[in-house]
This record gives sequence, C-alpha cells and structure tokens, in this order.
Amino acid sequence: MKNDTSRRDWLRYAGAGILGAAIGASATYGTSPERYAERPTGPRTKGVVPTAPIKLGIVSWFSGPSAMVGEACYNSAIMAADAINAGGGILGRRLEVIKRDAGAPDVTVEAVRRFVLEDKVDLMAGDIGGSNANAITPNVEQLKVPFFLQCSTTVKMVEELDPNPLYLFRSGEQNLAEPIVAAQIISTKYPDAKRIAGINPDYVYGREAMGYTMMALGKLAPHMESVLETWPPLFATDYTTHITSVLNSKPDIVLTACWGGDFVTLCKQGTAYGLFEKTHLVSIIGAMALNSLTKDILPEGVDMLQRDYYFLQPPHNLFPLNKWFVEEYHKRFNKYPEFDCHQMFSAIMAYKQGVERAYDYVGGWPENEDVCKAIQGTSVVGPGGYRAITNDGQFLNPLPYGTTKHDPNYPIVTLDPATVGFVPVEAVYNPKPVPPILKYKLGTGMTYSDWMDSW
Amino acid sequence: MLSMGFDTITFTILNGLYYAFSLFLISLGLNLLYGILRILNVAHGGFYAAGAFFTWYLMKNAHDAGLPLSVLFVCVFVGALLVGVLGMILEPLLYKRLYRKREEYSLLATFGLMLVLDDVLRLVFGSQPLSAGYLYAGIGSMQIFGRPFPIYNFVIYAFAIGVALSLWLLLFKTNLGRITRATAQDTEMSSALGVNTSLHYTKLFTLAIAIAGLGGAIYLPATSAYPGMGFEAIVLSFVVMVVGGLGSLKGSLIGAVIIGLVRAFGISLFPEFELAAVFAILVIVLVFRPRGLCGRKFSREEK
Repeated sequence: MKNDTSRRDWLRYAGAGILGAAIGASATYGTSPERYAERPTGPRTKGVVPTAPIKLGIVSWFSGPSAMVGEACYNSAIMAADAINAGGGILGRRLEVIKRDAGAPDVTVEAVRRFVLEDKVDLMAGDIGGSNANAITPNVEQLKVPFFLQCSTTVKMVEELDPNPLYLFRSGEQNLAEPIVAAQIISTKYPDAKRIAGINPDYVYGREAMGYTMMALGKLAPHMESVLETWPPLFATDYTTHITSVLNSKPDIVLTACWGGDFVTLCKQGTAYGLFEKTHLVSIIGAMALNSLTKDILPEGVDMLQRDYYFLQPPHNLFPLNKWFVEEYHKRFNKYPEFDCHQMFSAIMAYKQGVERAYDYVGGWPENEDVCKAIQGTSVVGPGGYRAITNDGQFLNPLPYGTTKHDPNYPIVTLDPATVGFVPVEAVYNPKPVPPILKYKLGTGMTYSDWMDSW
Repeated sequence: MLSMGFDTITFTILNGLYYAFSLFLISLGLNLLYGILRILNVAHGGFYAAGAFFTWYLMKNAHDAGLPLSVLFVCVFVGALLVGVLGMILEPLLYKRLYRKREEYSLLATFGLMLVLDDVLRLVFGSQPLSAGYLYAGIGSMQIFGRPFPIYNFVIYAFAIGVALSLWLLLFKTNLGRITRATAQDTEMSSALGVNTSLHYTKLFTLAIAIAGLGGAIYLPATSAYPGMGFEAIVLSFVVMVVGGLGSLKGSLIGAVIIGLVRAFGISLFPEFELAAVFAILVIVLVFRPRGLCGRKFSREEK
C-alpha cells in the first residue's frame, strides 16, 4: 500500500516534470538564434514576459581613492533605472540596480562571477579600468551575461583577448583615442612647440597615454621630442619634485594623464611652482575630477580633453536630453555629471533597445545572446548625443576638448564655449588623409601600433 | 647630481623635505605608540585622513563665511584637536585592550579600524577629492633663484620642526616625560610608585593621534582629501619606521628625511625608478642594520 502510493506520487511528479520540460522547450525553441532565419515575417504571437525585475549589477570602485568613479556609475545607473521604471520598465519589467566593489583583477573577476551565479543578474556594467577589463573579458564571454564597460581603456582587450566579442560592450571611448586627439591638438595648436615633458601616473593607463601620444606626435609633429617623462605613483600627494624637474627640462608642453585627486594636487602645487606660467599644460583626463576643479586650483587657458562627454555639450538649448540629464543629476547628487555618467546612461538605454528589438524578433522574452546581437551594429542616444555601436560592441564616441575658463555661473572650472570642439570619430581614426586601407578598424588583425606606423 | 645646478639642488632638497615632513608627522605618532604602548597602529593613516577631512570642512566653511586667512590657519589646529578627541573616544573602546599585547593583535584590530574609518569618512564626506587651497594660494609664492616657491612649504617645515622640538622638550624636560619614560621601561613599577598608568596612556595616545591629525590638517591646503588617502600614507610611514628604527622618535625624523631626500633626488636623476629608490633604502637598511638607524638592539648578541 505504501509502495503503491509512493509510486503514484513519483509518477505524478515525473509527469509534472515532463510537462514542465515541454513548456520550457517550446518557450526556448523560438529564442534560439538558429531560428532567426526561419521565422515568418508579419505579426507574431508574443511569448510570456517574466514579471520579476531585471537585475543590473554595477561593478566598480566604491571604496578607496577611485570611489568617485563608482559613485558616478552608480548614480547614473539609478537615474537611468528610475527613468525607465517611470516609463513602464523594459517590456513591463522593472529595472533594479545592485552593486559590488571592484578591486584588483582577481577581486573584480570574483565580483562578476558572483553577480551572475549568486545574484542572477541580467546585465552588468561599470568602469573598472583597463587591467580589470582585461581580466574579466574571458569570464564575461563564458558566463554569457552582457557586460557594458565604461571607460576601461585597454588596447589589449580588443586586439588580443576578445577580438570578436558578443557579450562584452564598451560604451566608453574606443581604445586609447585620447593620446591621438592630444597629439592632434598639440600639433595644430602649438606648431612651434618642440619640447614635451610628461607627468603621468605610473600604471598601465599613464604609461600608454604618454607612449601613444609620443608615437602619434612622431607622425604628426616629428620635430617634437620628449625631454623628460616623470612617473609619480597613482594617488601621490606630492608632485613638487616632479614639477621642479619638469620645469628644469624647459618644455613647451607638459602632458599629464593624472586624474581625480592626483590632478587636483598636481594643479594646486603646479600653480604655486609657476607651472602654468612657463609651459602649456595639456590634460588628457583631468576632467574626471570635474566637480573638484574649483577656480583656485586650475587657471584659465589650460587645454583639457573631456574623454567622450562634457556636461555642457551638446548645448542644453539644442539638446533637451542633455539639459534634463545635467539638471536632474545636479538636483539629485549636487554634482555635474562626469563622462562615466553619460557612458552608463547610454549603455543602459542600449540594453533596453536591444531587449525590445530582440523581443520583436524572437517573439518572446529574448535570451542574452539575442539581446547582445540586437545591440551590435545599432545606435543609441545618450545625454552626450547619438552614438553608433560597432559589430564589436564598441560605442563610437567623439572626443570633446577645449580650454578652461572661469565662468561666474558655475562654481567649478568649465570649458570656454568658444574653444570647445569635438574630434569626431572619423577624425580620431583618420588624423590626416591616408589611403582607406590604412584606416584603423577593429577586428581586422591590425594592431593599434601597426595602424599608427602606417600613417 | 653633478649635472644639477646649485639652484636645482636647493629646490630638490626643499621638495624632499616637504615630503619628508609629511612622513615624519605620521611615523612620529606611530613610533610613539609602538615605543611606549607596543601598538602597531595601522589605523594611524585613518586618523591622518580624518585630520585632512575635518580641516577641509572647517576651512571650507570659514572661507565661505569670508573669514580672514588667520582664522583658516586656526582651522588647522582645530582639525588636529578634533582628531585627538576622536582618538580619546576610541582609546577606551578599542586600543586600551591592545596595550602591550602581541603585535598581531594590534595589527589586525587596527587594520579593521582603518577600514572602518576610511568608509565612515567616505560616507560623511563623499567620494570626490576635496580641496581647500585658500591658505596655500593665499600666502602666495616667493622667488628663489628667480623661480616661484610656495611660502606655505616653509609653514610646513616650521610646523614639523616645532612638533619635533616640543615633543623632545615634553619627553625629556617635563614631569610628564619622566613618567612616560618610566612607564615605558617598567609599567608595574610605575603603577606601584603611584602613577595612574591608565590615564597616562590615554594622554599619550591622544597626543600621538592628534599629531597624525595635524599631519593631515597641515598638508590639506597643499593637497586634497580623498577616500583611501590614509592607506597611501601609511605604507611609506612604515618604511620610515623601519629605516629609522621601531619605536625611536629620533629615528622617525632621520628616517623621514632620508626617505624624502632619496625620493626627491631619485625623481630628479632617475625618474623611471622613483619608488624603487625609496624601497632600495629599505632593503639596504634591513640587510645591514635590521633594527633601523636608531632602533634598539633586538638581542644581546647583535652588535
């Protein structure tokens, strides 16, 4: 009797299981990518959309000297989520934001894995820097959950680690576009300059920034020579000796890739040591500390690159999205948005578009692979304007630059509108007329160095 | 060095001292705590950072209220004093239990406190780098060999030397100093002779913490306050401690000046090897004189 009951129970469970598996199979049948070609056109029956919220995992620095980066990413993700949720979510699903602290590459990789395995996130994003980006790349492709990198400039990732990414996107600037733009600005704005010196942080980005700028200058202004390159450690508090040494080498241009508190301290001590009176400072990424650059720190007339977004561009009267974004961000966080903010916002918008497009196509809640394919090769609009997305998942960003000004309307140093310019993507990757075959293109096997050599 | 002109050498020495004194003010308190209370205080960097953040808050508000530079100057002392108060609060809660215990305990406990302090500061003050350069810029620059040099650096030199002198006077010329040296040598005997060692330790602890706070406060106008700054500061301060000798006050001055000057000349002469130069000194000292330049002998056998 007992045995009988248990066998019947077993059969019941098994029956339920088989039924469940059948439902599952029919649901996934339509979403497999092989089905794309077979699907009939015309109106389709829509599959069931889950009601659970979509989870967005932000991994970035939330402690230590780089915490300003994580804060910018998280704040703008919250803003994007609120905007999306107020509009009814993504296909009716709310967007929920959670965060984990990044650190050294092993810590960051663990954060990414735990996001997927424990928190079961639907997508991830964050500015984690170049070496962390290199470390997570194989994991992201293996875990099959889309990851949108902000900033995280690294050439190695696209050239060696993941030449054909599917799940990995980068809404930040392409490779190291800044050094090329810096070289373009230096060679056109200061044609008489001959001597260049560097004060750059001693880590991958600082080294590559100086190296690639010199490489680009070697082509655009071969008469320029590097007279002194100093390498203060990241997060140094004393630049006085570097400034003294650099001034001793009598440079016409000083290039710096210092950012955050480093740039604040460098400028402050530079002012006291007469750095700005004797040379032209070109700051590649000092704008990262946008909100800390008060007028007593940074004088007028300093050349600054703004990576890929500057909060006053596009002008607010011409581009309401940017006006809304800046005003809302300032209202909520009492800060002006940095470039990470634009990158995060447009990444989330790209994901939303991707989900909606893939849903239309597969006729049900799409799988991650479908979403990613539906984002590649499209475009998205963010506070900084429209951005094309390549088939490699790279958002193509123009690079704004300008010289500093003390505008009484702002408590911080801003760019003089008369000097603000954009180096469009085409110009970043084609600084002087070259045969089309030599244009840099991701995924063709041409390395960044080869390409610059070919100018 | 031969290729450097006299003016450059002067500048390099002045810059080296500027950096050296920041290390000195941190390692001085570290050595004071280790020499007398046998505490390796990793959280010292956190108190240094707290000094910078507190002073930023005071200076920013004083400046916005339109107060003169002299008031901003007072902010430095008030900031340091507040850090001392913070130390006084934390002493009975945590540190008192660690006095004269094995170093592992204080290392672990104070490292934990360091993390807590850093996160609390970030929570309160945010994660943006904070700057209050009014004093630094307000005092202005003077010309040395026809080149501008910030006058505020001389304020820092004067401060550091003042702290060193007054601590020396305190320890060797006052009754408090006599008691301090006595308790450091033999706590039980001092208690038996009627010294309230517990109260005395609190005083010493507060002093050591306030000096770290002063370090953060006095350097704030020339740098910026940001989360994690304590970690950056503490590493090289430990290097200074080892080079100068654990627990030696004289050692922290000598160690800091050596590290500061080696770093400055290293940057000028071999910019590629900036950090390596500093750690080379550490290696040389550890190989040839493991107890540090002014440290006590570890054992009778050691010469």
